[in-house]
Amino acid sequence: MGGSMMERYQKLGLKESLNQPYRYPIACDELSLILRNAYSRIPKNLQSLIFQDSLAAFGLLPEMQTQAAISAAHGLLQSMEAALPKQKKALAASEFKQAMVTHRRRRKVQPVLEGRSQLPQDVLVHVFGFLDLKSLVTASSVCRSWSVAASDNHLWQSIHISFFGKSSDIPNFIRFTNGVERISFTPGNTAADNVDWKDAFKRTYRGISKKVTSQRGFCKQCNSIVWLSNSKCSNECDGKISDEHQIMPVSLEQIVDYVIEESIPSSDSDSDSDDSVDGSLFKLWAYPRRVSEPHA
Amino acid sequence: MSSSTKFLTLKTCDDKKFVLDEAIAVRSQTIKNMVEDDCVSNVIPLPNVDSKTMTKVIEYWKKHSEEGISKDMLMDFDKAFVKVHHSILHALILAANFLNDKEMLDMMCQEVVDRIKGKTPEEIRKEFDIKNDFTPEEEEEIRKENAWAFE
Repeated sequence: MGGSMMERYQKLGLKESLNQPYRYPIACDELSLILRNAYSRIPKNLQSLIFQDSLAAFGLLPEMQTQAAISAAHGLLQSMEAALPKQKKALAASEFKQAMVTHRRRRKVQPVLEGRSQLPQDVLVHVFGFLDLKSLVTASSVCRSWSVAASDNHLWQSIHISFFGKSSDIPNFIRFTNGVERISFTPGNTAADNVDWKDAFKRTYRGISKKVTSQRGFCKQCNSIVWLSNSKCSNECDGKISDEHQIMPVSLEQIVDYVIEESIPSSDSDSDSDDSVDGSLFKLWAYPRRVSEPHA
Repeated sequence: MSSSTKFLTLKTCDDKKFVLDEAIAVRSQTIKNMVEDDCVSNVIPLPNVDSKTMTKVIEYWKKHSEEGISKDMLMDFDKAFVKVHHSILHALILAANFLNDKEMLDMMCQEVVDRIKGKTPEEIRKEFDIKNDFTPEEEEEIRKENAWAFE
């Protein structure tokens, strides 16, 4: 159902993901683990594609300004050194070295500051409405005005709904249409307005035993590994609200298993935990090891 | 194409005038409302937008109104369009907000979001040239308060 090993690998979209600074470290980790665990078992053409993608990762490193990107690229280099034959290993090492030199040079050349321009609060809140949970919490510690915007009550209300669905104890919710969108209120919806949503979210979130730390999931509708955005498939297929049940968060190891052996975390095994946390929560699949977080 | 093309004149806050096909200008909901309510005399003032920003906005509108342009070409255009210094990005967001062009606003906001994600607070400050106005004590307190999200 997932096509050939090559197709499954290509569907991971690693090459495109490397272009996005926030996905770069995760894409590197995925390449890294495939190299380490499976390189010797995969066909030649896929081997060479993975090698090229890894070199492309080094080529893009100078564009990334984060520490997380550097350590992920370094991890990738180590995996390449462990898995690749001598000649390729040498090429990888020299590409990485080159990338680091360029990266350092870019760091020193700071653009001339054009004066500070701050976004007004309402625009900041709008922007923050597109952030995932961790990024939003990080944004709140940037400066005072960001801290205020990132604590906006409506913002946290939509996050609460996106994680836990429509809650029965708070009446008059309006269901929002798509993953990260804001919600609209009916006039007189005072019950929901009086709730401290950030606090409410924090309490409920702390109570869940299995937290979704994975940024990747298997989407049944897309039939491939996709990027998650607050536990929703980030592809176009997220039109239907019911697809909360179509997404399985997957670990790094499971991604590699999927590409190599086409093993998909089975949904049958989970039927017993259907109403583990009030039933409205999307299904969570336990996975053996936590994916390391860039924020750690 | 309508048989008679109407043109609108837009005036930015620095007194520069832009003559634009009405069919293109009404991508702005704000301008559209003004046209529909018939309160357009000859010049539409845009007190919140400067000419440098308006030039970019019009470049975007024209490209998105081109006939027969492929989806891929538009995507490439958009990708290049948002790769600007954050001060220009901010100006464009404010302009799109004032002009009420949701499509453009969302695209610019998405770019800001992409520049925030996966970074540490210090890296975000550097990206947007933001001054850390917390005291070290406050910063420590916020770090503790936020720890729950990273457990």
